[in-house]
Amino acid sequence: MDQRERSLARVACCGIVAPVVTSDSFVQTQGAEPAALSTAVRWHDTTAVVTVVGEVDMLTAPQLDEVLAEVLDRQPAKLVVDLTEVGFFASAGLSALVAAYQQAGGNTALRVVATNSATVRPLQITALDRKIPVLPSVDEAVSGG
Amino acid sequence: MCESGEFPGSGRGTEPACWEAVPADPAHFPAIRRELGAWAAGTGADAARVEAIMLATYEALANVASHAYDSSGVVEVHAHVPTESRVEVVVRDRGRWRPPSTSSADDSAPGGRGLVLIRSLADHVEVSTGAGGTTVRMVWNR
Repeated sequence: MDQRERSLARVACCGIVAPVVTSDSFVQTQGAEPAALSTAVRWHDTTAVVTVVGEVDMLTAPQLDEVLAEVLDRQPAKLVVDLTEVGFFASAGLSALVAAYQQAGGNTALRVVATNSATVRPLQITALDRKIPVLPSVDEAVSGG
Repeated sequence: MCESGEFPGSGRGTEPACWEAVPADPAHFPAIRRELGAWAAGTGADAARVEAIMLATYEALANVASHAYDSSGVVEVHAHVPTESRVEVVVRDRGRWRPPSTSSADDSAPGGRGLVLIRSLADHVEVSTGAGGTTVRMVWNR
């Protein structure tokens, strides 16, 4: 376990006690509903799972960029980006995944979990799913090769 | 297309919906895509179609915000049902962004991935660029 995470909150998840880093941002639009994105990072040994909840667009993608870069800096063997709870995924989000793919290089196996059309369609249309394996569940992404 | 006095989201059924003089600032776009989604659902479009309309229009707006203006500018979105079998969304700016060539293999060029999405999500797309700005017209057949 990374020493830098000792100060972080510990929660039980899925039978595994893991440090959790969460960050919420609400990008306020003028007089309208905010575009909200929250991310959480969990470590299972050398695998990092980044859970993304909300909408990934021009406003919120930089936050995803930042989280993925920070996690990849720690050189996990595998990084799973869970987009199950993402309801809108624009090209800015695809760019964030491409940047992560490039940063991961040969050091980190990058996986995406996507189950709804809002995320699966953009990944398929741009053929990014041919570069980054897209799986239907976190369990499969974590345990698979 | 839209008479003056109509306000965003006012469209019901096949009434057009217009967003005029929207600042080309991404902070304004989430509200537009949600209102457009509600409008599209009101035309009877199914969930996949509504999703396609929202994402394609968002990408057209994103291109304007990224490339059309040096500092600030405005963009307009007109959504209407020209015939019973079609939904049309027009995004127009007064700036100078040049759409990247879609024949290029480099989809990482600015706007490249967004335009790939637009062209795939809409049944028909026209991008016209002139001295007065750029118009992206997207059509969905029902």
